[in-house]
Amino acid sequence: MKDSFNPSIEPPKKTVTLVSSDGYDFEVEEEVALESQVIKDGFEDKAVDDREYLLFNVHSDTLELIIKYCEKHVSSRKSISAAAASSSSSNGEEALKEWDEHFISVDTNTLYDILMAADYLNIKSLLDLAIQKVADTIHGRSPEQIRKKFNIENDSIIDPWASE
Amino acid sequence: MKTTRTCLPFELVAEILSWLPAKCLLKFMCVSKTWLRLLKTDSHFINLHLHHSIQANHSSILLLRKHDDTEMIQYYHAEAETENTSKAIELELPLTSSSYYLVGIRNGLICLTKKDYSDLCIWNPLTKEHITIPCPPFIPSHFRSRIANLHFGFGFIQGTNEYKVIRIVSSCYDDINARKDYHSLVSVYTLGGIGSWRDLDDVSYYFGRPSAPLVNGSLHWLVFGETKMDWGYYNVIVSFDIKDEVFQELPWPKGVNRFKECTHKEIVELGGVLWYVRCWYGKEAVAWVMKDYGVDGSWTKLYRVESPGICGEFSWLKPLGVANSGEIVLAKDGRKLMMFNPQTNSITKLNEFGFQDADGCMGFRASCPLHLADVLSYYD
Repeated sequence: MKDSFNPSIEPPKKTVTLVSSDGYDFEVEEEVALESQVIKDGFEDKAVDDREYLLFNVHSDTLELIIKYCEKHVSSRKSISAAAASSSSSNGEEALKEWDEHFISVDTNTLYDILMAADYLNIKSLLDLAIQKVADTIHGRSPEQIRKKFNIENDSIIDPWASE
Repeated sequence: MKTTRTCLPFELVAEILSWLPAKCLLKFMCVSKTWLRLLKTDSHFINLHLHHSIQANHSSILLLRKHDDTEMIQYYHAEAETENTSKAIELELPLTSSSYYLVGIRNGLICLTKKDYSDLCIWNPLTKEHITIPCPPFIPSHFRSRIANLHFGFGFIQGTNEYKVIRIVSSCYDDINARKDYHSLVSVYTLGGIGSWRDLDDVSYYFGRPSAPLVNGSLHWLVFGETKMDWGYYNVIVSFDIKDEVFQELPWPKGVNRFKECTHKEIVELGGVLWYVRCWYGKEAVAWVMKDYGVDGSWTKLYRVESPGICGEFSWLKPLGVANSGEIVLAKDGRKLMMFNPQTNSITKLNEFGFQDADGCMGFRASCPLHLADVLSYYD
């Protein structure tokens, strides 16, 4: 609403096109795409009309989630720093943490897809979030449960810690 | 359609595992041969894991010592949080001998010395591994005085994951003018190194206190230094850079008398900073912290607890650890454990560890290298 009073000041949003492995185009704002370190590296050298990225390893279902995550983090960062600038109290960081926790509470396959995409696109905070989530799920599991979870064949002859 | 993912790339699995506590990983060694190799022999992984466990662990763990009827020393560890206090767990000593002193704990590795100082033992209580390091005998005839004091320091270099043990043999000689003559021999042993002790240059300090906290890559001792004045003992805090192996004097807390005698004084490391604690004849215990390492004037008084005051009479109070809540674990006269809140100036008794009287306690961070072998194979 506020923006409509001085629309001329707002520059047109620059966008980037991300193409998923199954061929879908996603047009996102530049700053959202720059959450990925891979895209950020060498971004300036790329011509403005050539800002299209083929993400061979990221399926559209996953890419949608990744974009949702990046958009949320970009907007949260803005509102947190705006609150800090006006020195008004804000629980922005708490709220974002809660949002992250909710975001990453997905089924195992989706979690692994997010993890691999975050690794591929090098989005540090998302990678840490996903790694921590997987680490939490395997903490305290038995070796047999771990084998099942990671689809590992049992080739160990002895269990040296079986007595513990 | 999306295919169902059956497994993650191994590099990502390794990254995930590097965030788990060592105790958990020990259990996972039998998952498969690939995992066993990763957890046991991959030095990149082991360093990453150590790095993460140092990063992730903020809560203090206490190592408690207790004599039972048979004069055996038992070690226990317990987590220091007011809420959810865990019962102390007895640690199984690596050797049957009961006569060990504690030198120090670095990343969950415990360094002990035999009471006759003939051997050192580096012990990983988690994996129950230990190694013995023989110490060279020291020859008292090196000294003009027959009284010699022996101390050890256990250091760790974060950048290279190297561990070093420092041995100091200290003597004090009063010359005919009753002036003190201090003389200390210094030798260093690098774990995984050439397997022998190296002598460094002698220093003119007297090392009287065993505590050797590690802060900012240096071990620290509260020592007596030489002074032009011919009376009293001149207190100095010296640092010993573990990497470069040089001694340096640190700034002294402003307004604190260097000569004044007290019942108990020592320097400790808590929360990554250096503390100076002194207790004055059953009247009070005062603690200062050096907020910016090595910066003159950065010593700040943290608390002053009176005796009897809030915690009853004491002759000395020793801070052992800082809980996540910011509260400080204090040992009263080396035995009774308490949680002290400097904000509200209040005390909570800690007796849920299963025993109230601990004979000598020590606090440390619960980060742990996975294997002693990795510490030793560093140079391979």
